[in-house]
Amino acid sequence: MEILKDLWFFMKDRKKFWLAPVIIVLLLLGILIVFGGGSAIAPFIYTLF
Amino acid sequence: MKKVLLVLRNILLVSLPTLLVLFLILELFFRFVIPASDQPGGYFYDDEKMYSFESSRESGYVTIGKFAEIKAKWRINNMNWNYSIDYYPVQDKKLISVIGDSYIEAFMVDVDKKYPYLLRNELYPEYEVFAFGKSGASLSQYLHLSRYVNKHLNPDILIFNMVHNDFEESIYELHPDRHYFLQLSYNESEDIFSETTPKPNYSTAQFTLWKRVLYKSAFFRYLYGNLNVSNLRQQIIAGGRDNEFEGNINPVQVKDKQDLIQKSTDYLVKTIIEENFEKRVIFVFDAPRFSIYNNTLENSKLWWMHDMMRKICQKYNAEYIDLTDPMKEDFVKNGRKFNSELDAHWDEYGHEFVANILIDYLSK
Repeated sequence: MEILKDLWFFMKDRKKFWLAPVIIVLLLLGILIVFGGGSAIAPFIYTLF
Repeated sequence: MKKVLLVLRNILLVSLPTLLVLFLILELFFRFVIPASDQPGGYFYDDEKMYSFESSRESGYVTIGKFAEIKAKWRINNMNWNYSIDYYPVQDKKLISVIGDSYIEAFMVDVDKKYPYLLRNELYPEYEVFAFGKSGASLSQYLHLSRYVNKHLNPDILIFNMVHNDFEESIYELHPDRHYFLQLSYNESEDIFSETTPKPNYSTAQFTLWKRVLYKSAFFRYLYGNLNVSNLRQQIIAGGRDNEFEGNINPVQVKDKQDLIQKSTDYLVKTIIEENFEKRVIFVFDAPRFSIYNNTLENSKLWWMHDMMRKICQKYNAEYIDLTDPMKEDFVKNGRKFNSELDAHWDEYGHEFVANILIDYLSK
């Protein structure tokens, strides 16, 4: 959480809010990589494609 | 106002191009460094009412895991199934058709490492072996597949590869979302089943342009196929569905439908046997493998399914191979699981094991 706070203050102080979308996308990807792909039991079904 | 405009200008001129470059880098990364899973698209063939694979792509690789730890080659043949060779009319030897779901589709092993092909390697030229597998298919769809196989290739032996979710998913009222497969519809007042006609699934990429476009992106395929984000959502909603699973079903939910499942399975096995009375019909049933690994086989909630299959096969004189005892014996002896830690389907060892069981059985 500390790093997120630091990033926020960095963006605020330097007025670099344009960085926010990039940080959000990278953060989401990180969360997905950590929590995703964990189900070995669920059936292998890809009806979407 | 001026400040807001400045932020918006920065987002437009700096953030968006940065994001685009980021996506481009991710796209290249998931194409060449950690290759995203790239399985062939499903395709509903209206003339046959058959859901198999699109014919436009012949081969590729499915990868499994965050780091693409498993990489398996697939090949779509002339009849749109994942198999190493093209199918042809077999006249001078006996033909075995192996029918199943994702275990026979077998995207988690190389196409020449799945058990029907291993069986072929061992039994050819006395026998030819073809495989017909599509993930999500259930016992009712196996009936549909057997008719399709009989119409086109007229095999001498039909092997039905059964797993635990094959029973309940055969019933339309329990799984109406599987309407693209043949299912049984139950009429409660008359206590009879009728067969549904498979209908196309209009939400698939076959019918939806944006999905076809999206699927071309390696980054998207990584999220969807490797990280399994759609399942992540389900897991969060259901609070960890995996804990409730045994085999590949929720045994408590399925047990509630036991009577209906028994009736429908009886109907399906009886119909398969009646329609193939001149052929050998063999049902092969996967073991409750996770109970074997945990040494909790006696407490498995799936026993009734094995009892049910044994009794129904006895009733209609169908050949039946239950993999529970041989798998248990092998696991106790070698301590080797039949699937990887990343996926519950059989891995190469599992396919090899089942192939050997069938080679022994067929040569007796």
